[in-house]
Amino acid sequence: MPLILRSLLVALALFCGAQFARADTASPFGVGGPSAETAPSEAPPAAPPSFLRRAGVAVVMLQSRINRMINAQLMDIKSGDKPWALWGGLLIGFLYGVFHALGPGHGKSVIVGYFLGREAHPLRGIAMASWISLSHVIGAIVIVTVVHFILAQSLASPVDEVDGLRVFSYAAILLIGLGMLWSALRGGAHAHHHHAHAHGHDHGHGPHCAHVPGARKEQGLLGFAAGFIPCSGAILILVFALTNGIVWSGIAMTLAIAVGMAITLSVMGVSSILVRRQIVLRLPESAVAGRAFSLAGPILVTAIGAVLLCGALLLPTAS
Amino acid sequence: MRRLAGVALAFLALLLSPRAAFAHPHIFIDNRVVFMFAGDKIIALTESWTFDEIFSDQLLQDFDANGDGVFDKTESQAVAKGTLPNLKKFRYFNYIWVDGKDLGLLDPMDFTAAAKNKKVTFVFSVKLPHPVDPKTQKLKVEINDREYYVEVDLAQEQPILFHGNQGVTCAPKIRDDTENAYYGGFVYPQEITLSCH
Repeated sequence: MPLILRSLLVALALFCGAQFARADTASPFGVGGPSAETAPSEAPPAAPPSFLRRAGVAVVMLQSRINRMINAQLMDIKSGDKPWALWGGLLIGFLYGVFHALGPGHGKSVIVGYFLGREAHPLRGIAMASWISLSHVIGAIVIVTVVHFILAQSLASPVDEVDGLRVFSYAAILLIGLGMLWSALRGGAHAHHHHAHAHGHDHGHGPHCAHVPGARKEQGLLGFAAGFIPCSGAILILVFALTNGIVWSGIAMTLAIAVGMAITLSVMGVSSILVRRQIVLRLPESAVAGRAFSLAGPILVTAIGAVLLCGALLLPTAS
Repeated sequence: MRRLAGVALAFLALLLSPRAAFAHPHIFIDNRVVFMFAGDKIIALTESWTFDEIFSDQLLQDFDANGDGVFDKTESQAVAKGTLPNLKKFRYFNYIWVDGKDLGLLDPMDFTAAAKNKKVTFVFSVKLPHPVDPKTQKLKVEINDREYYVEVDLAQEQPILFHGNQGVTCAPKIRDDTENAYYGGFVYPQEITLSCH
């Protein structure tokens, strides 16, 4: 345990220390008032290992292509010359969602972390993935609505607003993680009891566990906290749709993104659940091991919340 | 073991990266560069950035005051006022090295914004502090947004041209500069060098 904790702390410190990140969601053209200052480093950042790097390069390039197609598609929808433009837009939105969810981001880490640590029926994985994705759309709609109608601001780059919201989202994840940790520590005997039973009747175990009071609520809250901060892509689509009188097409495209995301996140969630079950089967039959493993989920979620929060807080404040 | 830990850590970093901004880029530029010569020395670069449909549309909404679909002189100046101060923080996306030495921030000159067929193009020049002899000196140019909010790509057709060169002929070389990868190391800038004789 101390070792795990220590390495978590080290990872956390590394993260905060190496927080390269600055506010990187604002348009550098200043239309909308961004905040970043750039001191381009001549020393390139430490490159990730080659395999990950190649995969990352491919994903980033794909994302860029899809973004560009979305831009072109939105223009087609706006001009109204091509009757199929909306369908094309929906398809591209869907693909965007699938790949967007592959890139690193909090929705993915939270769902993987949560289900690695918490026993649940695979259907719950799909449910939580869908909920995160839906929250994403709701978040985008709420933010665009608030900024456009209530703050009546120029929307060329509303993403500054999101920076503030992010802090809340991450703080919520951290708090939920701490809450899980607290209940796991208090209900230690209970968790062990579950573990002992897992060997006997593994099949009935999952669904049963999902009915543990609070599990659904916990997943709902966590999913909402993780999903609520929308991607800048969804926001930009909605902003464009709003300012160009194609609101419903914009919302439809955002929903298509959510469907795509839900598919990718479901795969991640269900895989995590299955991986966890395999680990549980192989755990040594000791109280300590079972107890330690029951803490893994809460610790993971807490750590993810803490890391994200410290990253968000270290971003320079918007000018 | 060390290596494995490194890989694991990098993966963790990737997974936990708070950059929800992984959705970048959102603005696309087709870039053309003209190397401006005085005799056999390069004295300046002229860049022309053509924006994608969406950002062009936004620029027109914000700066085409009379709504005629083009930028007149006053509107073009308004575009400059509205965008250049901020772009300065990003070095106007210009990274230029002479014999390996970074020239740093160079302010653009003769900026104009033009709109044609709903697409906006910025044209401006960047003067080199000292004329560069491309036969003996190594000039390296990269134009990109290191935040990757904007993707700057060299245009498909005739991305690089030469103007006013006398007594020297150049051919451009374009390659992915893997050493200067940015955006977490996942995007390679296009490096322009010249081979001249």
